[in-house]
Amino acid sequence: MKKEGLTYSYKELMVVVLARDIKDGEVGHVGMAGGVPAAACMLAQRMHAPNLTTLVAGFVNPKPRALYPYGGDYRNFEGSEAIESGYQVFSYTEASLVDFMFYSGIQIDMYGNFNLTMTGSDVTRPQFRGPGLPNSGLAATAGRFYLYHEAHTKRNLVKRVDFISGTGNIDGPDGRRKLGIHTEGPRLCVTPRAVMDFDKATGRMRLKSVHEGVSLDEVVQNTGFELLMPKAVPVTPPPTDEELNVLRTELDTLGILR
Amino acid sequence: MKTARKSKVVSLSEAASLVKEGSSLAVGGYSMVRKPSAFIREVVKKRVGNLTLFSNISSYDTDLLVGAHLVKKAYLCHVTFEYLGLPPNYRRAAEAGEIQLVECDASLLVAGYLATIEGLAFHPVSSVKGNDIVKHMDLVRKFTSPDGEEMTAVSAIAPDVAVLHVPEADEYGNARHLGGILFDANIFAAARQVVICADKIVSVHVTESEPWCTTVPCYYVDAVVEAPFGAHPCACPPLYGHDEEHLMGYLGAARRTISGESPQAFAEYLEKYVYQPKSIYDYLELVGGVEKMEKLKKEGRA
Repeated sequence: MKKEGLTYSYKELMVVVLARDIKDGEVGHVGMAGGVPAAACMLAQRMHAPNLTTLVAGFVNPKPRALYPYGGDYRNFEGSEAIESGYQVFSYTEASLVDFMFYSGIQIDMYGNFNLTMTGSDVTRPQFRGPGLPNSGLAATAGRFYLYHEAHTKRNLVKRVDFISGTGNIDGPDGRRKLGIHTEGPRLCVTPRAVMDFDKATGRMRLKSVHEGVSLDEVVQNTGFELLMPKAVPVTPPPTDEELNVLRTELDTLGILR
Repeated sequence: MKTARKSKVVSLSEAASLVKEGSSLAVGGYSMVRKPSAFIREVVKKRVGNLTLFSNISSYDTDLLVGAHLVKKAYLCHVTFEYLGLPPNYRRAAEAGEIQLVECDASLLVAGYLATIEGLAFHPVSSVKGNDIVKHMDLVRKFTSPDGEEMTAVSAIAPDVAVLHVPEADEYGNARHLGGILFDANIFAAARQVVICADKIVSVHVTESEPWCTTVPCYYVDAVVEAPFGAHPCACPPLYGHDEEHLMGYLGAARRTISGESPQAFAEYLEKYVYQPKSIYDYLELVGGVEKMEKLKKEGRA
């Protein structure tokens, strides 16, 4: 979806925001979802982080000719340098060998907990049964994780998730430490309207920037809880020509992010 | 007296007979990739029920078994038709409380398999902290380590039958994934009986010429089935991609039945594609024959 007057789509902007936060030499895990997180890692590799290792559910450093809408599509793994088994996925999760992970959710809450499992109050009779997630452990053992959602509405950004599929800051600044989790947890939450980060003092989600063409009021009205506000709300820095060019000509050659 | 080595090749029907009423069944593959679909249809055809299902990441396999009312209990991490939508029969049964779903995560399942593989009663997991999955997973056990640390472990998981689909296997059960093995690696080693469905049964000379390509060694395997395009409508890389048109038809039939728009649509799907076909060749003709398979071969290629 491209907003009128902009030269890029909000999905492309989400990719760029995430890519810029990744450091050279890190090891990142994309999960099964593909799309935005896969593009973020591959863009970072082609721009400032050539020594980034991208793990995609068993595949190491894939270099597909295009991004495909289906994360499990075998063509996404073309150009991989190694193929690991489920046991290796288990071991890098348990032994905390991954620097960052990406998660989305049917619900994401103000403390960065996310839910892919169910809504309602009774797990045996859910109002809505979600898809579940293969790897919840990296929310605790990866150095940090990024939350992203392709919609920014009160339905998916909620005060409290009905079910914690993956551990964010739980209920406050010490939520993770009290459970013996010593990794950073959620760092950013990126949506088609804005970028949020997390306040260290409260563990809560805070607005970081609003995308070009989106009003502050629109962000507030579409968030299901009170977002902490920074002193000033900048506009999310748009993609550079170089970033867009690499993204469109080397990665997303089918245009699934446009 | 010299005796010949025994082939493990059996028919699809014989292999599916290993799954009995009330069995636990672990299904290989992930998402819409390398699912033993022909085997699953055969189990549905035999109407073997009260199954306990294990699968890390599933799609058509889980939804078909649940839609045919054969699943009693399930350990599943992620069920999805990805960009095609959510699994309709699975969602409906879960929301109606008709199946007992045990919340799961890959680390919890792998730990359960590892306990069996290593001959232990349970296997510790350290990653799954603070989430609600671990609170609801019924095989989780808490224990105090020799160092006094409170830890989480999972009881050993040993499914009665594991079924995998691979592009190639030989008659003795040496299987060749020719790509990522992912969680298949854990289930074949943990299950009591292992069925390998292969698009093609190759000569043991092929195995011997590239032993480093063998992903499941023969001594784990009980039965080998030749099932050409046996993953259809799912993909079997590097041979062929998934059949989007057929999967959309499947999802449409299930959705129309659930919404009440066409209450018989899913039963008609089962009748046409599961109960009626006399063989896998019959089925392949029904879903588009050689022309369709050639198209899926082209689409599956990078």
